[in-house]
Amino acid sequence: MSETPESTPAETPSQLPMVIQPPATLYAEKVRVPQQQLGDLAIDELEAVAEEFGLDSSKYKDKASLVAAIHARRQLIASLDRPSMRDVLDWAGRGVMPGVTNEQMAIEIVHVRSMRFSGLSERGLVVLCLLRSASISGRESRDDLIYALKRQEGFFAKMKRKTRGWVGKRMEKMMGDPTTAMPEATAEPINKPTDQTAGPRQQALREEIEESGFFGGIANRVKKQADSYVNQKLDEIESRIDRKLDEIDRRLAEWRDKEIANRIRILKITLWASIVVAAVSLIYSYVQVEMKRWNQPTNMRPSTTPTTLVVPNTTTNLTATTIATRMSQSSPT
Amino acid sequence: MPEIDLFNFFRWALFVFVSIYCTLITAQSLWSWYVWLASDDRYITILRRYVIVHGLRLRFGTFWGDVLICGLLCIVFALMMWAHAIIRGMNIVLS
Repeated sequence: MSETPESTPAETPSQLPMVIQPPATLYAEKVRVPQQQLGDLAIDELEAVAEEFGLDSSKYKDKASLVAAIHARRQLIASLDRPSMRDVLDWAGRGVMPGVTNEQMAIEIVHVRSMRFSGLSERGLVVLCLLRSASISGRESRDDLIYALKRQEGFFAKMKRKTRGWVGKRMEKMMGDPTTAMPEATAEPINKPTDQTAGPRQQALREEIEESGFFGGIANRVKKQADSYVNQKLDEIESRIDRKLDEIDRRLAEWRDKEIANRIRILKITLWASIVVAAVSLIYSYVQVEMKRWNQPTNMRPSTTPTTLVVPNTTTNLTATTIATRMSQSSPT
Repeated sequence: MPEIDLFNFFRWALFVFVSIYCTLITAQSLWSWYVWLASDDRYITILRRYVIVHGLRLRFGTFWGDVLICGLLCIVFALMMWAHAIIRGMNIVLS
């Protein structure tokens, strides 16, 4: 079922609290085409903008209604819940860059043509219905939402999709696609919005061909494989660099310990050498003093009386005591 | 004509030259390291922090035995100097 300009289902945001942000949290989003300039655009440019936002421009008779529809669509996109939009992108196997705006996510969602809804959460289904202009009120069950989406798809689009799906199935059988498998047909969502580390689901080749056509699907698959290979290699290089840095750090720590141990050993050897030289010097000085003492005539030797001992200013008390002891021992009786 | 003891002359000359040489070499090395690491360059700043981290990661337990021996040798050296002072005092008295 196609939409009409008079009754746009997206114009009832208050009935869809699950995916519509409250008005207080809405923010003025940066848009590529400022609102006041929409009316100045040529009709073909307006049609291109409308297509980008998922609007069927052929349904709008004049320029004013097209501008109004684009404006209404942008208001709707700005009010959509980001985690719900991320659910859709994860389900479609499209990665979400950090910091991406609502409009960029919406444009990406508009390009998703898949009609296999298994694995998509209910809030994601609501977002998909709103952006595909399916008429919903917000109170539908999951099956009703899927029915609305299928009803919204036109006959020729459905035929085209089925044909592509058939080609995709043949291609999958011919080439084999062991890396990916179609998700099980279950009502439970497979994407987990709370898990920040979980990446987008990888699409099967059949899905890709069904969505983008034969050449587009093959090209997308080749591009994804190349990206995956490059990312894998980058991860390997990164881990190799990390291992190398750890190795360098470990070797540096070993070198540091060895260097300090060597320095301390050299210091120890120097101290030992100094002490040996000091000991030799001490013995030499002592021998010299003794020789000098014994070479002196007896009457020239210092007095044995400690009271007459002249102690130089530089001599310590202990030195004086030692000298006195020596004198008393060596003095002739 | 002053009487010169060759052994004492050798000791004092060795002490003076080795002390001055060691002081100069150590000061020069420390100054060059300081100038290099005090640079404002981004990579030098990283290197400076890395050196500090390595210094903090140094485990004293690995070298405590050698450090203890060095301390004891310093004490022995001080005792040697003290004994030298005593001998010198005796020499002055005898002179």
